[in-house]
Amino acid sequence: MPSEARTKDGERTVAPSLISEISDIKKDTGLWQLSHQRRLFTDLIDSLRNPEFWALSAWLDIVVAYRRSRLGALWLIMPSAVYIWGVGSVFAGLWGVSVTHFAAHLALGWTVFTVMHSVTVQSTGVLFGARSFIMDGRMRLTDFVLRSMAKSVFHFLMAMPMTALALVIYPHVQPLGLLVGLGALLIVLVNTFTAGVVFSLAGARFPDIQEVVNNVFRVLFLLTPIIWYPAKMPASSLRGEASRLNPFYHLIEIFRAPILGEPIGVLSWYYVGILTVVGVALATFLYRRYARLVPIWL
Amino acid sequence: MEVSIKAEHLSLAVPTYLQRERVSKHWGAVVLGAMFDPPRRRAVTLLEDLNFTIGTGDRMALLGQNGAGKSTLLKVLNGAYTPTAGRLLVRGRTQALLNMSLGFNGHATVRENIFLRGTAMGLSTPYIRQHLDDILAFADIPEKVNQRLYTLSSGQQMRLGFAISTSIQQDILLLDEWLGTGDANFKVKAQERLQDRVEGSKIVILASHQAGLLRDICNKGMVIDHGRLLYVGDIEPAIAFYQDVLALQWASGSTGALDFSDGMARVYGYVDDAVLEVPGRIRLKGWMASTREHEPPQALAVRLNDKVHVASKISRYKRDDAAKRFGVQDPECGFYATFELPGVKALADLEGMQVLGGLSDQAADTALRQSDRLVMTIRTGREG
Repeated sequence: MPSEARTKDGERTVAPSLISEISDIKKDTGLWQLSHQRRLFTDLIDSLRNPEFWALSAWLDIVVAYRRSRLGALWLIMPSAVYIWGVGSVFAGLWGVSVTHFAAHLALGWTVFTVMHSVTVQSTGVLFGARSFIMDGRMRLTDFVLRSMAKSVFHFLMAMPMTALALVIYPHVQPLGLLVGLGALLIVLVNTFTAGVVFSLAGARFPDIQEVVNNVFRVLFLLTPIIWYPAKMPASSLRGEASRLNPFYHLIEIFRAPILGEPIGVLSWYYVGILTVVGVALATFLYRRYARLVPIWL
Repeated sequence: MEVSIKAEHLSLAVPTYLQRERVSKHWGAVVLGAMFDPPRRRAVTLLEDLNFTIGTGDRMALLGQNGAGKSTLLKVLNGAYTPTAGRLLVRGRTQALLNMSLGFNGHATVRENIFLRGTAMGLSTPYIRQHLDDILAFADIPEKVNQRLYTLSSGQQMRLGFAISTSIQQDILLLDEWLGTGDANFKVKAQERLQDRVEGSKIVILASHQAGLLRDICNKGMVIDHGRLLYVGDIEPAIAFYQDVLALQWASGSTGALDFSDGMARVYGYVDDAVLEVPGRIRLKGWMASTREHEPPQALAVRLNDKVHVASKISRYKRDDAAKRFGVQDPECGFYATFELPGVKALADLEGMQVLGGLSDQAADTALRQSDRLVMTIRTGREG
């Protein structure tokens, strides 16, 4: 194991007296150096290479939640069934469209929104919750972000049977659009991860963030075309304008519109492109600068 | 592989948050204060410019009072705190036994928790699977493997945590106090296991207040006070130095940071009593020592009314009480000192006297602490 010791001296020296980092490789190689910065990308790669801890802890979080119940895993599927068919038929009636059309629109939007929502909200408290591990020297914070992502993605997959059903009864599913949607899903996950990193750091430093995020999401949900059609809020109206500032609007549009064959503005692609670049840059910067301070904040 | 820890100019400064001092007249003000009083931020230096090297085979004792920075240093060494300046180079896999009952998931089973804690320690799943039975047997809970963790007693949870944390032998072992948990049977087992791990480790760092334990285990010692490294060297002189520091703080009546800027020698001592032998001559009784080994202080002087009088005669004697109570190293630290003080007709004339000690007559400049009894005698003598 010590053969792959990765000493990153020299190339990353910050200042003459300061030494560059060797990320959390002590457990793998036994040679490490403490320094002033941690790198998001290196940590992420290490986390993905060693998934045991975060995957297991995410899995335990999920199974433990249903262990006391009789119906167990059935409760994993229930929320999506209730939401897509229950809420779906109510709003389909409200908009005067058929459930066969509206269920797919709602399902795709709601499932993706839920992933982004739950990761962002959870991550504000995830580092505080992992205090004991962090104090024990487990400083690869990406592990904890991936833990909450793994949970959300799992719930996303649990909602897939109902989503698939909604797509089956939808008359105009675009086969090519499914491929585009898959790519868009990847972009959504990248953005979810960067949001998770940013909000986990922010939440560790400012405990108030958790409440702020919770409240902001209530409004953002209504400003995202999940239970309504973008066409109902044209960009010219004030509400339409506000909703188009909302990043979730575009993240959902690029995923859903290609699959359902709905019209999508070029603006959405631009918006998401810029958002991704800015998000990755911001997360990298904040992680590099503040990750080392997290144990002190907690 | 050569295992080592090297710190160069290692410092750690952290922001702390202070709540504003406020006088609350009734409970409403307390509630409002808690709601709307944002804490203020201030930087505090926890570790300052530490330099040391710990090599293979070293068993290092961390000595220092509560709040001196021992636990903070251990957290830096295990990678939790990143130094704000300087560098730290650690060669070797580290296992910290600092807090072992944390990081469990109460509603998961014992088996799942062993995997959770194990992977958090960086162990591979095959390794954990292989050692699962050993861990359960060690914690004395093999029959509980499929029960949820919260059904275990706190003693059982502690045993499980200990069993997992010590299930692997690493190169470097960090210990905050020697751990002894559980009932008598388990204690014996835990002692043996810990002894085993200590022997198997290439470097051990142990923070403790028990001098006997540190003598048994460690060969080196480090004295930390107010985040600064005062002494690093072999264990006996380190313990001696630490006890001197404690005695010095007691004798100087201050718990503030010690000033060693003029080198490591600091003189300290205590004056018990004063006797007026004849008018113009007094004799003081007390003890005096220095923080430098084999260099007992030689000089005494009295400052009275801005004039310094050097002792005309000093005789030493054995003071076991100073050694026992205050940890003074030199058993011959007691003194009787005679001073010629023309103009002193009664003890009351000593009002405002300062007794100064030092390594030599030229350097007799450290005030010794005076006993309450002596102070009272001088004061009441004047009144009477």
